[in-house]
Amino acid sequence: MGKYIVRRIAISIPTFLGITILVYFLSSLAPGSPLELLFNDANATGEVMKAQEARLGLDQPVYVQYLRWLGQLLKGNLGTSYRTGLPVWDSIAERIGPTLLITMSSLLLSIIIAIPLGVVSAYKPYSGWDYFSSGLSFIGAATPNFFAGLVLVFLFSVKVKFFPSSGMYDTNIPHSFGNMFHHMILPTIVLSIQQVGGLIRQTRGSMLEVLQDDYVRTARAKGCLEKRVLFRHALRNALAPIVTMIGNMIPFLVGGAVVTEQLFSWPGLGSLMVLSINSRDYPVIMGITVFISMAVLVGNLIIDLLYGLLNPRIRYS
Amino acid sequence: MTKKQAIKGSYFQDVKQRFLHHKLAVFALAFLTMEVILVVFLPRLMHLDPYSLDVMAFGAAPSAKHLLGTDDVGRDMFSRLVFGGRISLTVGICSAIISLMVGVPLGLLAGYYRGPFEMIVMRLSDIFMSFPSMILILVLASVLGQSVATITVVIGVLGWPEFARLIYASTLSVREKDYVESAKAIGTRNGTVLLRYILPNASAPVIIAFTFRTAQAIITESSLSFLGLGVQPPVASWGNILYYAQSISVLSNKVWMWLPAGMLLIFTVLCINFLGDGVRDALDTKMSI
Amino acid sequence: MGIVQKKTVLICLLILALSFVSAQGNKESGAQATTATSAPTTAQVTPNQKEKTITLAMVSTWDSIIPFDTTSSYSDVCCDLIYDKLVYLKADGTYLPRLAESVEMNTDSTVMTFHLRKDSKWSDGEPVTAKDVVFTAKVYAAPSVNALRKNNLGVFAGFGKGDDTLEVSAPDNYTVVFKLAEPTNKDYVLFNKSRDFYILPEHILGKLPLDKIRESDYWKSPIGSGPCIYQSQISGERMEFKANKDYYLKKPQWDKFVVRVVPTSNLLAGLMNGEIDTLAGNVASLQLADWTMAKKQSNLVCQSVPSLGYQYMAINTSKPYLTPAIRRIINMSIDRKLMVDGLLQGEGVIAYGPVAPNNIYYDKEIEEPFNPEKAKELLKQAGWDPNKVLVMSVPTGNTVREQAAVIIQQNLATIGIKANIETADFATHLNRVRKGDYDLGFIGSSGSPDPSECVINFCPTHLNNFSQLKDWTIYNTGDKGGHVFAFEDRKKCYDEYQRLLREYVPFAFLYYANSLFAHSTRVDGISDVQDYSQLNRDVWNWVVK
Repeated sequence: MGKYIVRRIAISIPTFLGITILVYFLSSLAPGSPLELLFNDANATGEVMKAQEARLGLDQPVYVQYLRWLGQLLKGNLGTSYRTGLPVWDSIAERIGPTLLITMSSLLLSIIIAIPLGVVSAYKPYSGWDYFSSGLSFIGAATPNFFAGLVLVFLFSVKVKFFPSSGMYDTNIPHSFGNMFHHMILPTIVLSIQQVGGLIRQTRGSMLEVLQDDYVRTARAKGCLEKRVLFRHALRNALAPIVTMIGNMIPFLVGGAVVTEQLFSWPGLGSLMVLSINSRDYPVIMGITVFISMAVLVGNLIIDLLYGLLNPRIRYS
Repeated sequence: MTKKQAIKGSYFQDVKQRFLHHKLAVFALAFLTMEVILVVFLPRLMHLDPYSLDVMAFGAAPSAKHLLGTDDVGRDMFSRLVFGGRISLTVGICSAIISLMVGVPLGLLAGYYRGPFEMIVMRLSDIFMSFPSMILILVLASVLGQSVATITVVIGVLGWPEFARLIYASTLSVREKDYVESAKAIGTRNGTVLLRYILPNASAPVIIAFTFRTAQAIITESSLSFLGLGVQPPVASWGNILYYAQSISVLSNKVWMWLPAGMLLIFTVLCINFLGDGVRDALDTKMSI
Repeated sequence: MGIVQKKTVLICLLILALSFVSAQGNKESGAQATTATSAPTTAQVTPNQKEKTITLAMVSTWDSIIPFDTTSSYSDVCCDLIYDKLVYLKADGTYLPRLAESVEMNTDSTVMTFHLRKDSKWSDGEPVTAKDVVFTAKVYAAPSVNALRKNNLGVFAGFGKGDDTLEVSAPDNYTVVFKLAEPTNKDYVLFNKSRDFYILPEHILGKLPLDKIRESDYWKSPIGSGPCIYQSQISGERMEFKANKDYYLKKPQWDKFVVRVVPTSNLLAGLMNGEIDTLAGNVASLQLADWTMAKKQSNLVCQSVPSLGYQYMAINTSKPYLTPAIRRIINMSIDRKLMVDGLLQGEGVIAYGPVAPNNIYYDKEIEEPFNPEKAKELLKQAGWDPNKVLVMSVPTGNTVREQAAVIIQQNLATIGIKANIETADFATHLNRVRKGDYDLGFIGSSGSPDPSECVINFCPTHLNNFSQLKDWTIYNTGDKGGHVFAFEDRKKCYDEYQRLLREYVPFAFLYYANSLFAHSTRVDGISDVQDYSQLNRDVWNWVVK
């Protein structure tokens, strides 16, 4: 298994390089340079822009700029943002926390709701529980998240003033974790709504399949308690596609909450990505890409190892 | 009738019977078919025009002339709803098909042959999954123009890893099963094993994923509209109609502007999911009729 | 591996993740504690006397609070609170004293003298003197710094030749003398060039080499002489300030000021909820759809503020089929009244030129009445090819502008010109329009009380020569106005300039949209909102009830 991990890490390096090359060159194809927008002022002139270009190294051909960036990356330097002039790492570091906070909480919430509901639905198909959880999952999957956000804000922020409509903290009291938690609830729920549907359906589907396998019948015939049959025997084997689905959500964890972050002014990585793309801020775009790819590569490695844990028949040579 | 024909005939008849047993799926199929017929034929029958402006009626409430009122620039909302249906349905289905056609073969081959092929496909899927989709959308939109085709291709191309990984996981389990081992033992060719043994048994999660992917594509398109990157007006889509619900007063006072599009969106997605459920149940050989 | 071990692995992963997250959370609050100038114990101790806080909302985030290194109006909102400026600009073309008690121009308009107040202080206690103003000018103009806003100082003599060549001097501690490169109008300098001139502290930044000035740690917690003192920020979400109780114009009647980034869709909810006290003015407007509901709220004061900013459609003059005659026909076929009455619901005014109708320099002659029949006739006479399809480049991000484009498309179709709308994000659109890769392009401008604001766009060598002009006539006529001084002389120049615009139509001006402004009844003293468009806000006059 150790050799497998080492091999995976070794393969990850060209993957990682592949991603960075693709992203860099594709971004450079986008019309409009980062300076285009900075020099949107009436008093801007062409020669100040050219001087700035030279200062930032933007007058070089794209592959030279890429190699320069890669060289800096290997030294651990992610560069400086064109838009803010601040180091890229600082910008990303201060945004990861808020993003992870709402995405991981929403994933946790979704798992806690979805797996039990899915198991019960599969156990009693076409029953009241089944229709309830199916209904929940369908409506959740069918609602665009900005729309869900708007409706939730309207209901719980305007009509009934339970929750704040945006931001991370209240402005008139000192910042505290409790206050942030209060602000976090609506964005987390909005994110969960989208995920819970898929998870319930996948759990239900997998469980339905597994519950027809022979060993389940054997376990029941042996006289096992139903709960044990469901969770210890059936669920464990049904987990493979569910774990895959969760694994597919890893890039979402670090960069996918874009719309929710915009709506609730939640200063996360997703909204930084949108901002950077719109201002053609290549260093930050590349920095976030590096971050997301590393997270995905590591996450997928963990998920693949989990397959081995769950199903001993899958061997890793 | 030869033995082969008899077996084949009864398999599909079984499938059909199991499907028909799933009442909701049948209803969903009927609803979706009706919806497709309406969005295709209604515009011509009712002479619907979603583009011209009625300068006398900006933001008007429903009336005889405008069945669902007008939007801020005087365009007929009912027409936009129907034309929007065309676009949203097209984007949803076509992009899911693209993802399926790319992802399933790759995932199958990766899971079955393993070895270096598995590494390549899985790494490729890593690349696509960690690729910031916004960049691809932005670049393709500026190179090809912001259009329905661009959005469809982008959503489709970005969605294949999900299918590949699902079928990869299933293939990994199925290929260890005894009947596969015995098929190989009696000398069945690899292609046949893949198509007749592995694919049907590994495909259930993929079918569920396809329905969700279609639904998700429709939702993704509307989220992109929110960010200003989706289908742009004057072309209508349910997503960019919902964009105008971004105001508390429209949400509470001008319900005709967003509710029909929202309801249709939810209903369509619901039906696609029910349909997928029914198909999955129908294809499950172990389920009793 | 048993199920117990599997569960352990999963739980360990979760704990890892959660600890990582909470570490991030701690890092953020820790960083705040080091940048806050207030005692660290305020977080735990409940304040016994309620701190008066004002919260201001704007719709997008600042990029940098280095004042010479940003061109974003959102950054200017924050900079104007931290730093002081020479004068307070008003939307009607007059100005009030700020750091400069008075401003004089000598008789031949070549020397500008600023007499500074003696009681302005930096938040570290040091007095603000003429040395600071001279230093700031040097930093702005220096080639080694290459500030984004460098060219503001292009009007002064000695600009651009070296780091120390700018002809600005301080004859005594409270007087600053600028020499102009050529005779220039005082208002022109104040309104177009000093608007972004934020005074920097020489006693802190003066020690640094100019080319390393951006790297100083000073910018992490800047010390300014404006009405607020910087406290902390959460990047992209808020910036928090403390009141500068020693501000010389007026001691602020509140203790804390917070600038928050809130998307347009949430502005009304925030106002109704009490989370936001006021909008920023020009960089935060309620959307039209919310306006009626906003006016009904008992806790809000709403004001539809006439704006100096306008939207226009640039026409690519380098395309052979877009002759001056065709451009005039296009101009004539635009139904501006429909835009203002229908689209803006009356909250705006028609724009026929870059000078607002209530501006003293406005020339009524230039109005091009809406005449689609005549346009159709003239089009036929001009021999327009009915199959030609024009490309309309529309940037996303301003719904009303996008809808105006649709109206124009319909107007053109009525007279027989086919046009296709192509939307793109702003960066792509700006690039296309600057390159000339379009036929009709939509742009907005924030305008100015000074009529010369748009002149630079007609300079053939300028970056923003959107209509791809090669002829210098319009620019020269407009530019002359900046170098003459009596009102009658200036009026003559600008009249001719506006008439040239009507004849050649490089831009078809569309409308001035009002800024839909609202603030909570909790805050008093917010008046003259139209002045906020000049990048200054008189927060020292605001009072929390």
